[in-house]
Amino acid sequence: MWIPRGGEGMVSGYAGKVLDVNLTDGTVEKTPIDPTDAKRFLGARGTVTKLLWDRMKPGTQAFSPRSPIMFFTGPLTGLLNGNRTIVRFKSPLAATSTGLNLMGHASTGGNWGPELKYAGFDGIVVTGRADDPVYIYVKDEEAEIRSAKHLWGCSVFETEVKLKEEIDPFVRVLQIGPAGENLVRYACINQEYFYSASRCGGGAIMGSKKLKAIAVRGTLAISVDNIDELVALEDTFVRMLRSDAAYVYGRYRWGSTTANISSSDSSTGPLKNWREAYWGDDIEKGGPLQWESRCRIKNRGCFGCPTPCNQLGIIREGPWAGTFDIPDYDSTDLLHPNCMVTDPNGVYALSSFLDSVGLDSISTGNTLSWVMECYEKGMLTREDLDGVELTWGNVPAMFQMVRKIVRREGIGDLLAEGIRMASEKVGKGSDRFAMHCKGVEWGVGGAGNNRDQRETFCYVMSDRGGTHMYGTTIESQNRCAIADSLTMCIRNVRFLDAEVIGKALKAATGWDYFSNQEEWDSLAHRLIILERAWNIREGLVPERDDILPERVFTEPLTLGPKTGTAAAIYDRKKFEEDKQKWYKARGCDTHGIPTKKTLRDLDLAFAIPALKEVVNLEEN
Amino acid sequence: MGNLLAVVDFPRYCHLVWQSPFLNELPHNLPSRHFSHGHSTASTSSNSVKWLKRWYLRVEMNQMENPMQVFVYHALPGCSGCRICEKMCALSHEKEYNPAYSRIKVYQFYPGPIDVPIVCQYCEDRPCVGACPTGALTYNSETYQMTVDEDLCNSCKLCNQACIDEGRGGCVTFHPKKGTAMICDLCDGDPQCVEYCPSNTLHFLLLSRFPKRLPKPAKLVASRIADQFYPVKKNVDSERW
Repeated sequence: MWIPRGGEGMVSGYAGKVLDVNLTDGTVEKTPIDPTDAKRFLGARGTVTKLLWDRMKPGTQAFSPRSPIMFFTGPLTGLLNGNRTIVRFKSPLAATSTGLNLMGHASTGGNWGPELKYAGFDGIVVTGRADDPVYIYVKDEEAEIRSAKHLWGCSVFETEVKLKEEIDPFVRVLQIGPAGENLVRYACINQEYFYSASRCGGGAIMGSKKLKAIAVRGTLAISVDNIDELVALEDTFVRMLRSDAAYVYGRYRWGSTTANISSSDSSTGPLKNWREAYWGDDIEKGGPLQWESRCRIKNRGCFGCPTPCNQLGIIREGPWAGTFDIPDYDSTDLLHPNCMVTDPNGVYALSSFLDSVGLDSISTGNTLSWVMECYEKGMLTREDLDGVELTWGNVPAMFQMVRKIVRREGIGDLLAEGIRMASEKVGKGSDRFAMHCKGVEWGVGGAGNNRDQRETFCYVMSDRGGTHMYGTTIESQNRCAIADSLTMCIRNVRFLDAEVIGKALKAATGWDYFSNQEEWDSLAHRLIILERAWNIREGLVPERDDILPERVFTEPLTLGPKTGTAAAIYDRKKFEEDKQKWYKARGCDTHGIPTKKTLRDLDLAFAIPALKEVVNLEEN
Repeated sequence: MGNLLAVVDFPRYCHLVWQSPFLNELPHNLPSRHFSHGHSTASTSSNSVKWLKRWYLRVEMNQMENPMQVFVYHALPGCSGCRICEKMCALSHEKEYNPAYSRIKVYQFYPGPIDVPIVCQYCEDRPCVGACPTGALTYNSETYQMTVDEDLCNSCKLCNQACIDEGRGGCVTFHPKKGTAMICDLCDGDPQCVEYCPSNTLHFLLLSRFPKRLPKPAKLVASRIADQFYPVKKNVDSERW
């Protein structure tokens, strides 16, 4: 049974139903979304966490057929500026220090999310495991499972082209590459070549289900409550999003890679496996000016974005001539200064190659730099690395190593497990510089990260490991949670205020959502606490697992403006204080577990029985 | 002297101008000041060429049926594929949130992706109007607009076929629910696609600036973009894993 479009009880602004696909027996069902949940948790990130809580049994293995992977959109997706897709699953990469897997979260822009909404679904939940490779084709409230034998083994780029030729040039495709097929634990889910939902290993989950791609085409219109109001708001949104002319110009002309340079200059970037944070003039070798003068052709933008910021270009000389790429700050930052690569074309070619095989460039960059440091310190010998001379900045060796990781050959099989497991296996103190939190390698915050205590703290508190998109302060965490739930870009949402978003939601859904900041904050608080509660249910012990790599506490910076100051190192005492401060602000007890009062206040009382079984809940 | 030469020799070279599909190619196809063969580097700044162009355009405008005809021009290669034009077109005409209801369509080509927006270019001979069996699709020479009478339209799609058969873009789209033809009506002089285009790709211009301009199929435009802006060729990686 599902609620038809325009029927009674339907929520306008949402498509109203979720597509349930079971790959084991090949069934496809439509389930209505729960309007109360939609109102309580807003949309993508909130609703999907609640669904994960409801549908996943505690302790399910990440690669088990019963473990679902969910692709979700929100109330503003396809309307106004919402264009992102949230992917949630039990991550094969994120884990507690005892090896229990935690929440996986990835999000992607592009055109896929709006297209899914136009096809009449708010989200897709995939469970089970197919015997042979399959892909899912969704068109206008209908869905079918098709064989993908001919696509299995194809790179991401090839799959995209083949599916568009096979079905319809206007179809939008999410697909995995060979890395996902071979269950590399940090494989990503790609779209239109260079957009990817990359963190936490969603591609491996799709690979374990033998699901190669999800193709979507939608020609249905979204029913909204007040179309005239929304049309008026379109203009308001565009004006607000383009209000900061300098920011918009920089983003349009140079893209996000400007953050590489600013973070290095403020001594907060990654360098040499996060040993240092400042690279002087060398940082410009892979920066936006190089890209603009050598390769850039034009911008690419996600659906309906008034400030498209992806810089598409082509490498024009050298061994990689003809390679397309859209360099992003986190991928280039981790491949370029973190691995000490000084050849700009090498950085771009690697970043493009990682997209084509479907690997998360953040995790891969971290892994490679960790291996380089191990090799330099003699913890891994050349024999261990199967003869690959993985020294700092050796791009051909990095290519070789990535191929090994994708095929899971030799040392690649170990590195494909992520640096948490690899450093446990290698031992010899290599975990002191294995830069991950809860198993997920550090992303680049863009505005500050290594030894920048705000950003480092974000990696610890995040419920999906070392991500840079979780937010550094309480306010920015709230903002990220709201942006993810509205499926808006975090770079755009900062220009909007609570009042305008409230108006937009009222026009889309007809509900009187919140209009002031306090109410938004309490909603964001609810999402964040539910995520933490889910992780605790799955085995997270905050006291034990909210930790940072040793390097942060013991090795002060020796280059750049922070040298010799207190900011060159993160003081352990200060870290503990910061942690307690965060716990208190989030309504948790001193052990980092949400109190009963917090859960009840936030309308999360349903979580109390499940949490009681694993931890002691304090009353206040 | 240069001006005089240009006038005298103009008929020899005008066919080059007629064939040029894009404005930015115009000066390169024109002869240089001295009409020397091979090198024509100074042609863009030459007075004679400027004069020649203006003179030529004036002649063209006089020959045009509607010298003040405007249209939505697509500059290369800037389209970012954000599809805000599609979204705003569907919203302003059909009041629906879905690019499928749009009269402008952004095609994607690979490798790249290369994005090509295709919209009615208001060509002068209008094969679509001639192909319409019911007279639903007409051109109003007073308002300079294409119009579709939804009651008369029988969704036969012959108009779009005629556009494609003439080697043009296939610029007519069809309403997903009703099936009737939809074609760019320039939003009564305030095209929303141009208004919202963030990458300076769509422009609202006089057709007389582009004499004898014919819209090309998206695929051809994409291959030209590739030739012009993506000079290095490499096939899609077909390595098997």
